[in-house]
Amino acid sequence: MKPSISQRYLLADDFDERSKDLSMRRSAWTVISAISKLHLDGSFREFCADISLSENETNKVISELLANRLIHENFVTDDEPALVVRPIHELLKGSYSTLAVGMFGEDNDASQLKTVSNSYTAVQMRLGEFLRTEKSPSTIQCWIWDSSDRASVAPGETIRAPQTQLNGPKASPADASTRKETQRVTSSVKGTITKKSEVKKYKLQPIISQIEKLSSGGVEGSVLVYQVFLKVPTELLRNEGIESLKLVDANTEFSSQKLCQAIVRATTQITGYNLKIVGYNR
Amino acid sequence: MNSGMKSAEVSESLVVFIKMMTSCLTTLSRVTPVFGDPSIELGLPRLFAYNGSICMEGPLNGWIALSIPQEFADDLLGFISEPSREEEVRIDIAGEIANTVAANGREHFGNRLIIHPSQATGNGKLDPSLRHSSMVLKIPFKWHGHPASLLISLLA
Repeated sequence: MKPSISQRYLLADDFDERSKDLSMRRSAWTVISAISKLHLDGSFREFCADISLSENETNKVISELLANRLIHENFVTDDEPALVVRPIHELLKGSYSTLAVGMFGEDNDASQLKTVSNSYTAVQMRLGEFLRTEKSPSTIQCWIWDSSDRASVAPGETIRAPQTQLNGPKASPADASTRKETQRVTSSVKGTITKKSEVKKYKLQPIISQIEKLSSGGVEGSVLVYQVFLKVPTELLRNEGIESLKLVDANTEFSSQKLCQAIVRATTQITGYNLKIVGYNR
Repeated sequence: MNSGMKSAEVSESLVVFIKMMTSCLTTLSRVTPVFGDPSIELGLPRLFAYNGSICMEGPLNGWIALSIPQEFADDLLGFISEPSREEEVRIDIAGEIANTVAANGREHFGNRLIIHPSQATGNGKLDPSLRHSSMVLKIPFKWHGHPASLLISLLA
């Protein structure tokens, strides 16, 4: 699909999930980051020009955002403004007053924590600053959590995946009170699964994305994912109630560590790649 | 699985078949299929009425099948100016696509891959001789407004 100035885009409903493990060109994150603070009523291209992106780079950004399904075209009406996006800062308003942003490499060094003054900036940092790293998404995780938890985070520990839902429901005060406990953390897995918590959940989408990225993408990526899952015992999937594995389904989760380990093993067997799977407490 | 062929080669080979299938449809009708989101099905998914399949053996073991509904077959027959809409003719068109892809596959892969004669059915099922693995890759697509599927099954 070739984006043109007449096309309109909407931020994906499952933006949080999709963006979690993505590695995109810096300008793409810059655009997303900037979009979050604006109500845009001009065209997407005008906006990109305003932030000094060349036409060529703008095309690449649009293609990349579309390919990653972070935005989608808005076909609702021809009379609407050229670009309509949901302002992230509004969606986040009131959810988090102060956020800490952490970036963890392979050594999961929590000492790299930084605190930022408001949630909005934190989101920007998450999208625009930290993910510009040259490390691949498979070796880096970037998460956001309430700064009140900082003291409880010891070096070496990793923090659960973001509670911040750009498009999702807001955390209630009750949630906030229990967050300390639940966020206390999950383990980062490299090749093996460590056991730290009682109930851990794993999302399939980041796993699938990692495997797909080992190929040139598209159908080839799907076939590679298929080859990997062929090595995973079907009963492990069935035990999790998975009968059909949609390769772009952001919602499928599982809790079986056996399944997790089987996927890691299968990926290594098929691709030689040491898959990293990050679970979170629920 | 498919020993002798690396996973990347398996993927590339299957992509060749998918492209041939797509190209065949486009050439016949000048309408390009639009692919949807693929899924991995535990077991054989529900098929459309007419199915044309190609079985491969060698470094790549398994089959690829085109599954199309009646409306799809009828429209395709219209594109090749075939007036008949009899059951056998509908089965023939599904088989003909598979046959064309099989022939092109033989030309492309040569001795590297054994490609068996294509098979076609019209009862919403695959030929009983086709064994399917525990999981089947389903790639849905739309052609001329009609839903259809490409199915891939690799044997262990």
